[in-house]
Amino acid sequence: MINPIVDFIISVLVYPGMIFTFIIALLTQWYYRKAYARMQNRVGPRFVGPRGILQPLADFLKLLTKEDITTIVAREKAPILFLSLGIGAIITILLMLPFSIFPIRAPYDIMLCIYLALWATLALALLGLLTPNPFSIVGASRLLSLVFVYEPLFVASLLVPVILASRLYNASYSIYLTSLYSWRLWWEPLAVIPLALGLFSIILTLQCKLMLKPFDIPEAETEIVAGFFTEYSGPKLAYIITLHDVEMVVYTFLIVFLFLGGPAPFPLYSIGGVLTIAIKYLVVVTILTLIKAATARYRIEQALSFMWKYVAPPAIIAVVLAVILPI
Amino acid sequence: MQLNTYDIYTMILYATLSMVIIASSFYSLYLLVKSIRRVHVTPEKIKIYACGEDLPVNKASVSGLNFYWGVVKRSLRNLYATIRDKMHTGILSDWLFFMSLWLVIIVITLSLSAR
Repeated sequence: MINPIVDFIISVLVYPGMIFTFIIALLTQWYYRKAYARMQNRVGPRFVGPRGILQPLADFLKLLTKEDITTIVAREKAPILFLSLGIGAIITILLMLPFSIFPIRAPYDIMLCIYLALWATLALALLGLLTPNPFSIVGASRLLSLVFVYEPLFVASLLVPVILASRLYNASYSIYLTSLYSWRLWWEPLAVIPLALGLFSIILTLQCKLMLKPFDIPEAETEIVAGFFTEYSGPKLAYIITLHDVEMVVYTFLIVFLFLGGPAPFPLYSIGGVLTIAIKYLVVVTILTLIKAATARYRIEQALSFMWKYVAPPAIIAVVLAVILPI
Repeated sequence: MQLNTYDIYTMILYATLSMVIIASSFYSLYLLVKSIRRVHVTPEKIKIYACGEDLPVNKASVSGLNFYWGVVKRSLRNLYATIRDKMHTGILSDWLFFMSLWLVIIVITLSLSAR
């Protein structure tokens, strides 16, 4: 520890904040693009860097330095402001996890996590409103329709390990403490059922939240051009893609720490612990990519119906069980 | 590594500070890039994209009210259909029952909150 203020600034800007998350987001994008391509019998990113690993960075820099065109009567800087706030809010969630060098925690901080997670959704929905384009408006309208369904289910699934850890180990509804105890939940015979149901529903909800197939309805490429970001190009598109990738990184880390036990069975600061986190992280990203590669796009009412029929019941049952089970 | 346990209000301050620092960094990066890379504006570039069609601005926008109700109706379509089919049958007594039901809920809520 050097100084609390310096520690805080470093954790916000470097590790596990902005720079670390940005690098992991680029690597994750490369990994799922490569895996997605291999699943479709393509090669994927190949030419920039060894095995194309620098392709996401090249794409980001290319978009960032392109002309920033603003459509007639559209807002010029408001989209960037909302996207920046969305990225800031999502990255801030990582400061609550145990691997932060300046971990911040408080009783009931799960509520703060849920609030911060909403910023990205809000930013993306507002993008559609900020340009006068029929495709953008249709895309934003579809996104908000999905939000009505997936956001409560995401919150419900996220609450399951937090409630269980708070009941069993007095974790005070804190993300930090739940992350420390989550591996022990898998050894509690009665806690396994809600935890498994919660894990199942959070992965499907995350697929929907990240707008990966079969839930890519708000952007629905070719059907409504590019949905809510039809009019966005250059730096604004670079920030949209960054927000998407940062969301994937942070929510995957949340699943790894809250559901899969983080570095367990190794200590956090050990080679085994880091490797275990990396393996669990890649497993979650691979599952998301596999679902994306194996499915075709739903229509909006099919997606809503699927979520209500197959994702809502496990999520709700998991929360109810987590609350009432005599553990 | 230090372990910081705060009350939730202090934590909200830290989280807000973190969010603002990161957001300012990204916003500043955008302003920096924008100051270097000039945009050559032409009438074609700033037109609304409508797959080659000419679309006037007033036809490309919808009112905010439609935006809200469209979303609510789509998400809660089954609920609307149920209410419409079960309650709004066109029979006066059904309508009276439906309206009275809401009044009963309001009266119960008010009486509970007044206790």
